[in-house]
Amino acid sequence: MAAPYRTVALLIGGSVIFFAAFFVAPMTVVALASISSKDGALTLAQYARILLDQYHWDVLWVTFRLGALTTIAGVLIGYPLAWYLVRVVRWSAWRRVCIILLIVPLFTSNIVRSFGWMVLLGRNGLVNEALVASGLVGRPIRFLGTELGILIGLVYILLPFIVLSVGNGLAKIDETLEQASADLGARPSATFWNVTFPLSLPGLMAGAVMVFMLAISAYVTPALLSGGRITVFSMLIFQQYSSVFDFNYGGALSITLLVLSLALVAVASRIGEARGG
Amino acid sequence: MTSPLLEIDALTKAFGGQSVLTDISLTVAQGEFVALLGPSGCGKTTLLRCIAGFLIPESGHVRIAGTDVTALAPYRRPLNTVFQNYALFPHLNVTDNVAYGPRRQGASRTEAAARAQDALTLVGLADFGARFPRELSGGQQQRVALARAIVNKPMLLLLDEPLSALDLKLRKRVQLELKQLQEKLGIAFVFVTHDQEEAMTMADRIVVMNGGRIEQIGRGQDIYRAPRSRFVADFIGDANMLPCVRAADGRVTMAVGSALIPLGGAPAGSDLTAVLRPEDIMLMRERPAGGAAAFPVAIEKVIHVGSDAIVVMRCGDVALTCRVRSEALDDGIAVGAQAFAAFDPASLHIVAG
Repeated sequence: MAAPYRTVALLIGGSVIFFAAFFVAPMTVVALASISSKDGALTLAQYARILLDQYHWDVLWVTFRLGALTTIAGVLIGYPLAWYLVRVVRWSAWRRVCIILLIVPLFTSNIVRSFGWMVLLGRNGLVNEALVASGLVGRPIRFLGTELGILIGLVYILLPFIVLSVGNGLAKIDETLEQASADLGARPSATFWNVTFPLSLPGLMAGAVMVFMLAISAYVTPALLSGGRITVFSMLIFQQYSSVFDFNYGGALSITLLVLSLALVAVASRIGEARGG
Repeated sequence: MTSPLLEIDALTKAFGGQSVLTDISLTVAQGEFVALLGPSGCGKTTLLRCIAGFLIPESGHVRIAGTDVTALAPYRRPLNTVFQNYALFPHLNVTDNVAYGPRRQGASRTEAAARAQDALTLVGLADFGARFPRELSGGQQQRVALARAIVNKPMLLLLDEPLSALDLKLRKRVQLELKQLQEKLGIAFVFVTHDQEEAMTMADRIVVMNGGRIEQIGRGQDIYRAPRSRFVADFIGDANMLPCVRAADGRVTMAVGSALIPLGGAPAGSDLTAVLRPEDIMLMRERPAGGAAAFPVAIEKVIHVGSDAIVVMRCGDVALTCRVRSEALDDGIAVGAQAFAAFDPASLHIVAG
């Protein structure tokens, strides 16, 4: 009895120590800093400074709007892509190639990929040249320094998370359920909306939550593609920590973003649970 | 005569060049209960899936009530299926599962729910509408799957080994209930099973399949009494397979041990086997006088199964089993004893192979 107990304690202990050292400790430091003043006294002044200032609410609104739009665009593009990979591709070698194409960009730094988009989306970039050449637009569209530019960058970078999550969910659906639906007289579209889609919701929600969290906390992509014209919340935090060195104010900003995003995710997953059964 | 409800005509199906069904022809009448019986891999489920529309055959036709449905999508076919794993929708409760078909046919929400309730009452699950499939036992899930199919009032119901997940006792009960329900509703059932007893209990006619072909179609008793091939004789019920030889003069003799028994009415061909059912053998201590045929055997094992005894014995290099009532077993019939296995030559059935 004693030996397995010790093994279990050892195994759990390792992860507990790791978790405590690299997650709980830094979070505690940040949280404590956020409720302290410069001289170490407890105060909620930092939070008052954030929440009573319209500017912060404006930045939060931009941040969450970008997060929501990234998630929606990611789902609209990612779901069909996942469907294609799981349901349409019959040749497993081609499916593997597609998945590698999807994952390989994740091995490259965010910075490199965001710079790539800066080049592509620039005034004389490939995208504008193609649009002008095809006659779709009269003159180059300004992408850099607009929310659209940031959105394009974020969707591109976060798309694999949706595709993999939805794809995994779709692959797990028992195909006899769809056959049963067809057998009961449901057209393919009715089968999709009544059986396949509801059963893929858990995977979709997991992917969407992940993408939303990553999008609202993203720093590099918005920073590079904003051209200094748009500010998202993570950029405020970065400024406080790296330029102003106000760890108390920066900590309060971090905790604000964390609490608000967790609250949103909690609401979203409650909705997902209710719909997903 | 009206056209049969289901008509399968020279159907073939192959997977990756491997032939799975070869030249299948079969008709099912209105309200008939037909069992597709065979060992696993014999193609019975593939045939069912061709009828349901989940597979499109390479050649041949499937007609339902005179209409060719061979290439029709499953959702356009006037039939329903009870799947082997039931395939209940896990995200819908029992009522919504059963109401799924009526809803797709355009019934209103209340009407579909009322019809679902009727169907659930029919299968004895009237109070289970609000439950989810994962909250039901295997037997209850099986009933929901049945209710979900019959609520659509199909002309034809396909059942893919629907009882294989149930334990023996429950299976026996459900077999009888299913048969009663089928007679009450007058729906034609095509029932896939690998269990010959199940097929015998329920089906009006049995289609014995092997290796993608139909071996024999007929009533259970007829197939049992007059199997057309060695495979059918072996698969349906227990059988003693006794080798026969055809003499130069064309007469067939059964060669068991040193006993040579002349036989009549054998099919053509030189390789023949006589099928002798275990219950047709009588065990005697003395060689019977008169017309009955008999050969000497050594008793190897006596197994008591309920009120019956199964006696395993040997005559030369041929092993035989017989089944008798326990109380009919003579005291002298014990392991190691010598006895005579007697039978009426008329109970023999001779097949090729």
